Amino acid sequence: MRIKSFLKIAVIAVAIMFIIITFSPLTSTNAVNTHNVQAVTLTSDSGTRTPIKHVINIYLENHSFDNLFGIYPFDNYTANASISANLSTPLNLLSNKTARNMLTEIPTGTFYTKDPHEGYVSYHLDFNHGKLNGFLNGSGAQGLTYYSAAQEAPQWDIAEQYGLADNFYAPCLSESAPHHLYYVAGYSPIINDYGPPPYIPYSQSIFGELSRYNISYGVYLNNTEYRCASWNFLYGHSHYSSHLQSWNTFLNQTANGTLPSVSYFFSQGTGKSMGPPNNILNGEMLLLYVINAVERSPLWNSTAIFITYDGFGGYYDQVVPPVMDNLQLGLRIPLMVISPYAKEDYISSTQMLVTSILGFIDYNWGMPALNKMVDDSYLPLDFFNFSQGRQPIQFSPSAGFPVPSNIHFNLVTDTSKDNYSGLFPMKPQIPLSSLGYNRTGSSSVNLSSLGVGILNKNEHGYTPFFESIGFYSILVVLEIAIAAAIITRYRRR
Amino acid sequence: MEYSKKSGKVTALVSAGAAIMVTAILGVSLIFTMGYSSGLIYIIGAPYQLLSLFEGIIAGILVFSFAGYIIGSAKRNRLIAGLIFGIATFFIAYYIIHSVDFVVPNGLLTVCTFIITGSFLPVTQFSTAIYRGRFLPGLAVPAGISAISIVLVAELAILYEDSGQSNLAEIVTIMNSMALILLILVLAVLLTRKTSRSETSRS
Repeated sequence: MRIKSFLKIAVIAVAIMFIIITFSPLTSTNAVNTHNVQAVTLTSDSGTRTPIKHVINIYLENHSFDNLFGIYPFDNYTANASISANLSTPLNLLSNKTARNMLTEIPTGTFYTKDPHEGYVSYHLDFNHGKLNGFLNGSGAQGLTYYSAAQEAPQWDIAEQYGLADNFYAPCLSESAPHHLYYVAGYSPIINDYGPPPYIPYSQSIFGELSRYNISYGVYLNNTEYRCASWNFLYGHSHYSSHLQSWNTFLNQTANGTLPSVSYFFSQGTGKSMGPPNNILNGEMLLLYVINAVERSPLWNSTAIFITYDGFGGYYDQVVPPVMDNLQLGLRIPLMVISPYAKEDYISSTQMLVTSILGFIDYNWGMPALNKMVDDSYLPLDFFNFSQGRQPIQFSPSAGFPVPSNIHFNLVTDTSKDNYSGLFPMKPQIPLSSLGYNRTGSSSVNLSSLGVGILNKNEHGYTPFFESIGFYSILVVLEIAIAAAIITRYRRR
Repeated sequence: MEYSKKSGKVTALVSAGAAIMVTAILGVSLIFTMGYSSGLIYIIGAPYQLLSLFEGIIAGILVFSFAGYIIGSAKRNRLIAGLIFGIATFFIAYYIIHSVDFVVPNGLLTVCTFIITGSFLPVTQFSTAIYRGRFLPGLAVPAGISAISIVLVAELAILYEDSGQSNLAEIVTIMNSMALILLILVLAVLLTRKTSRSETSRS
């Protein structure tokens, strides 16, 4: 009789749980409905607003602006001091002796540091409410360092020949995962390397927007099995798996001119991402290989490459990051822009973050802003001089550049005798005195000022019910109830 | 007679082991659920935090397990007080973590993880209530619970790290499901025994 009663209660409990789960708003599919978005009129059907038909985004890891470009373009060992003396100087340690004296220059032959203590907590300790004086408590002394031309010459050459931003911020004071989400979706429902859940519905990412507007795109990983937050945290990504491709495919498509309109090239998980404690030379080698491949390809005349980092990685930067749309931005990170239309030796002081790149994609293909953050972000338009294209600048192995023979090269470990200082500066492609534009500047154009509309007005993370706190609360309540029933039975015995 | 003495010992050992195991799984599932729900999990994962993290967890499991055993389950009020204490610790940890906007340095992390293991107090009270030990010395129960729980937490932490800190929801689901199933089994066994006893006494 008692067993029957217990069974009855159990059946009723299960039925109630089933009803709750079925009708819970948390399990509603609205959150991932790709059609539940604002209708926006396109400003162009298939064309682009600029000569750029291909945007390639290359994502590296964990360096602040001052860590890599802290003393750019000053080179201790240069044989071309007259050239470097005439190059544009970004806002860096060269104009801040106090900060520079606090930091240590990484010695020639050393291409890595101990990994700064990574994490939301340590980065907030570094930041110390904007005082930027907590590095010893947070990321550690290894964060108080900077590289020189001895290690950074290849990237410095890219900056010299094309464009570099000195007012470009990480979107938050945290680790990789939220940065990845800002990179592809313009917001993050998580604050640290954790999860999912919450996920971001695929429709709320740039990939969802590109799908919606029938613009081709590809996501390129060395190993497509690698768990990349920019892809795996997007809810429903498995329906779009044909867009997830390998580095080899990227190179083939580049060589034969079939690369999609928008490409996201991820270095993460390979040891070639420049993230500490990896040897950064491997990242530079990868970068040179990919840039050379694009520059040699039929796509060159219609391409813009945006190279940036997924966070400051615990390395010092002198600029207190601003707050934008109630979001405390992270420390400055480098952004380099390569294109036949990129101005030479250009330093952009436009206040930007990765949502500016999303904004550029939206702008170029005549789409609405992906979300409000993208709408408000200034566009990197000042990097370009669309009236004049340029021939590519090859970074040739014969000139001494560390270009590998294959993208899958073995990781370099012994760099104790390497000094690339002699590679910087390069001879400018166009004499600096002949350039018809300023080599520094900024842009105040954003999508909001153009009134293109916003695609996702209510972006929010998505947590499936069975992974939600509500579901676990029900389980815990059931556990307590059953435990109480057990104790009651024992007492009656 | 000899045989029944031996089988009695075996039964006592098995039931003690089962009680300890069920309790450890229940306790660990609660720790992970509380870590997940309070947001503590957002801020942990870096290697330099490991020591502080485990200091709090190990100390907390030991302290609250033994406290639960000492306070005991003889009176209903004590049980209810233990349960309220377990729930309160969750809210205290939640409040601390959120009041500092998740910026929890290592010292405070130890405090938070210590507090979050408060659920081991009612859990050990529960274990003491269901295990009427005649074979194991009493303190072996909280000691066993602590040892198994610490090993379980360490194992799950390794699994979590190996997944790139992305499978916590799965871990919480699996642990809670296991705890729930084991509790249902215990209840079912109890109900079956009760029924068979009453049937025997009727006949």
